[in-house]
Amino acid sequence: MYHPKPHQSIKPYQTLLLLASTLLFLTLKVGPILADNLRSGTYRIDMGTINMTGGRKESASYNLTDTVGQTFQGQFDSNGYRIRAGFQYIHSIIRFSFVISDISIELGNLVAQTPSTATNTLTISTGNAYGYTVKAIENYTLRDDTKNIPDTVCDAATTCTILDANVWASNTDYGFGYNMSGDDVDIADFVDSTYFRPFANDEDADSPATVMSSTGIATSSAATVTYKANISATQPAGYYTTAIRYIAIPSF
Amino acid sequence: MKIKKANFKTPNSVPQPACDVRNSSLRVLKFVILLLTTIFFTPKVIHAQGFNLSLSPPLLQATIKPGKAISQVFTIYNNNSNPVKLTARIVPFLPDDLAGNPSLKPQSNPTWLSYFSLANSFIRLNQPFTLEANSSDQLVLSIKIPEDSPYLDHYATLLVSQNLEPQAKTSISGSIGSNILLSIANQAAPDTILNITNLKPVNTATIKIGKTYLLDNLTSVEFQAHLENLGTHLSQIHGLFQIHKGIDVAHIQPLLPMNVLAQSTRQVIASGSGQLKFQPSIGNIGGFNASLNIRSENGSSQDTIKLIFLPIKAGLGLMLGIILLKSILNRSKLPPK
Repeated sequence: MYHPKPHQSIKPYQTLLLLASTLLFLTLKVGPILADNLRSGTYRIDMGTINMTGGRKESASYNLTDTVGQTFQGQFDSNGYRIRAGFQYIHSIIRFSFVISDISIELGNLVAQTPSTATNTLTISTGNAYGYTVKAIENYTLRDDTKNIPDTVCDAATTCTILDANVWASNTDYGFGYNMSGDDVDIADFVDSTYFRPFANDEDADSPATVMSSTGIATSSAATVTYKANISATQPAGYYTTAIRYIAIPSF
Repeated sequence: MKIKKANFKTPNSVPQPACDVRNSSLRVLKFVILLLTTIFFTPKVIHAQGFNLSLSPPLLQATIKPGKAISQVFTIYNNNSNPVKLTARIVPFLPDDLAGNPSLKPQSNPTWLSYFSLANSFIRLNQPFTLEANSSDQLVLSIKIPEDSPYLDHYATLLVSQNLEPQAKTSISGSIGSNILLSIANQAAPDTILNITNLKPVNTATIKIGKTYLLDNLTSVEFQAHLENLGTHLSQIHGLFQIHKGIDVAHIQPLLPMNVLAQSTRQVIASGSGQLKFQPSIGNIGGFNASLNIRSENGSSQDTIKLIFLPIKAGLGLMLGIILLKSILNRSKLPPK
């Protein structure tokens, strides 16, 4: 009489091995390998010059940092140009990046003498740039057709300007302003959460004001912007909005 | 009330190996199916609408002869899950501070802005284009220098700005830039004039006599220095900061290479820590020199200040110790009452 032996059936570890292999096969994607090609459907190069890329080259026999196109005087004389792209002394695969967490700010229904606030976050990675600034400017004051909420000047006893934050804690001082906190913020200016500034205003021909800056490499430096509006009882009802622009520029 | 099903085991029951193996295989299968389901069907994180751009490279420095042209590819990445409408433009800038930050001049419209254009087929400067979600595009910047262009530097930022969509709420937009340092010259490294200023110890107690500083030899000393470029072309500098006594070097620090634009000043910073800093040792007593040597392909500058390290803290400590010792000895000599 034939009795099937237990070990001839599928063992648990065999099943596990098979499924693990399947899992590995499914999760490992083979991506396309793209050559560095200057042609695309969206651009053409119509002159006999070059595309420059800086970089680091290594092998067992050499270790060379170069910038393609970096030429000697003789080559400059024959080619007529010399180009350096990027910062040669910083090697990073991280790109210069700027993130704004939310691009619409809702201050809700404003109630007289009850400040309304909203926040978003600015995040910077300098990659292979050494230092950066983020500047801010508003297109105009908070506005509903012809009605305006003026930019804040903070508390009467502690006035602030577009470059100088100060205390804005009184509910009887009105306007629109912002506070900064987090990485790469000037904490000598934005001392704490009660310190505010009005935005630089494009209509007043102001230059954008620096809100974040660093003189070194930044990796995901994040700062929170707190927007605050406070209105008086005589402020006409309406839906007030503005447009605020943030500009992130690496140092040179 | 939830009642769990009891797991009865009969110690005397007849073993059924084939059945056990099948059951355990089923359990493993169930576990793996659960694992696969978790991996492949986990809800993806959905970000609120935001702005997330990258631009590469962050800097372009080009020296070009009049009558010549170059092109440089800049890559713009939309790391967001929504498409974004953008506009690329060239904005002139002036040096803003000692740290190498630009002050953009968007209202300025000099004639040399016409040297710049995009060689892309569908993207033009100052015209909107759409960058799809989680994708990148290349901006092929062409710079053509006219034959009659004067030998000068021009500084600008390639600024890629998000176009504001009209909406009911207060809207926020972002821009990201890459700096372009353009030298129009007939040589690869056109001459310039560099000048070191303000080399001095800072954030340290010092006594200054002429160009000589008296310092304590147990306290670390931080130095500051500025570099002026008085010429008409930028200079990419590098160099060394040294503390030395004659030919004996007590401290050496390489400087961070940096671009000093024409007619501007930058703060000199050290490679690595960023600070020009010297921690003297107890043996560093007497006269030393702090020297800054800056070199570039088109200029150089050197400055030295004299330092005298004295054991001020150690001397004060010693004096205090002697006074204390004397007072103890005097007390011990007093006759007992």
